[in-house]
Amino acid sequence: MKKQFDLKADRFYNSNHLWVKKNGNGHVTVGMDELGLDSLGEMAYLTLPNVGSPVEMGKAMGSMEAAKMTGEIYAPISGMVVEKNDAVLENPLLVNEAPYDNGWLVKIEPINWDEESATLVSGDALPEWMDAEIERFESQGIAG
Amino acid sequence: MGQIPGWQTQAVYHTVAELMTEDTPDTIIISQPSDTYVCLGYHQKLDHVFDRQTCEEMEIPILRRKVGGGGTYLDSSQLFYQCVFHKSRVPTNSDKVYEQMLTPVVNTLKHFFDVKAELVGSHEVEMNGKRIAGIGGGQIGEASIVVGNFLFDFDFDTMASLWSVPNEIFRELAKQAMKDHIITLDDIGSMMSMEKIANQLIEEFEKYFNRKLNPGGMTINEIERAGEMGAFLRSDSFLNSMDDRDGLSKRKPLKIARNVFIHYDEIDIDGEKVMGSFRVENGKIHSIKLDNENSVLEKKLVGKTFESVKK
Repeated sequence: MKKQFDLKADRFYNSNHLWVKKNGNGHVTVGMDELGLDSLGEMAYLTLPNVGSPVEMGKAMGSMEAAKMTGEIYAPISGMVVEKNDAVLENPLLVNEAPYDNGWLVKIEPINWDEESATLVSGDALPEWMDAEIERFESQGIAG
Repeated sequence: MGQIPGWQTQAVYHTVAELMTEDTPDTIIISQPSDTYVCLGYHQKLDHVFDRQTCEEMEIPILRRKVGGGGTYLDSSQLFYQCVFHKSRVPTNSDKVYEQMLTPVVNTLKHFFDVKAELVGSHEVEMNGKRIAGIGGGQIGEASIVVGNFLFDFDFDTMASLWSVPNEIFRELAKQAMKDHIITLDDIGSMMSMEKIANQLIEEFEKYFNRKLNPGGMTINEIERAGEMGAFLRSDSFLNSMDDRDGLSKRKPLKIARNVFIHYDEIDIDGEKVMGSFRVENGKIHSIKLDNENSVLEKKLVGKTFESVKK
């Protein structure tokens, strides 16, 4: 049986398995989704951009390390960092434990929300996209 | 690549990874460093891992790599394998990436030696229940990387002398744990040459991936870039890059092997706070040296879970 992963319907997702949620004040919160975290394992280290830093969609904004495997964290949206989550920097495991709540990464003031959010997955498209992503995660690059 | 300078053993795979595109062939680099150096994991803070002054006095260079894992001591008694594959051609799950890249390593050990060689905890290569390699991984650009080594012999004393430690008791506790949990090919009486191991490893990779490996050198572009990369990996700016990062200010326990850590921490015994060095195996205190040298208390704490005695 295929593994199931929780997706919050109130946010947008990308193929790096980051989520973006628009807040009431126009800022967006960014975090990692359950499928991405399941493939990475327990988070050991995180680095995040400083408040006031500009970030550009698709460009590295930080880094992470889980199960001795490092990787970049690519900004899912362009804008200015207005807040970073110090709690996950102190305890990176929080990202695994509460990915959609206390385990968020940064808050960004977006500069091109309408155009960029249209490239993310959201709403009715989510279930089908998630099924396809689970399939990709299970089959990609399997050898031996 | 045979024997090459230490810095090149890091620079080459970083370069191949950085220049990799979907059209670049997946690459496995096998090499042996001609000289000794130490190497930090990507996110480690230098002063929490190595003693800069001792490294300088012993003329042992420090590099930082962009892949994960802990600080490593590397010398000519080790054979390196570095797998650089395009990310679209490896599993998305990191456990499965490790399994693919490390199963041929385990099979190489099984081929030559009558030992229990296995991949445990997804990314540790063990022989007879002890660690025989340092493993790390990461993504650089479009490449997915797994690196590791075969230990033919290991200089425990020199490695321990290079650690940055809170005190000498911690160093001794950690050194003993390392001797107890790390095994080398020399320990099992192997007379096997590095060349033979390397050739078998290539054969095992070919078998596992069902692909012929084509021997090849570096392109001119890669050679030029590797020189720059080597300088970057040794540069002060990169070595010190994690110094002011939030969340990295607290010294992490020193990992010796799977589920074996050395902690320097404060514990609370009946309201009294004491600092000490703790060797913790599978969550339980294996051995302990308290700063106040209370040997009665030390004996009482052995076997308890570390979490239960931590402040």
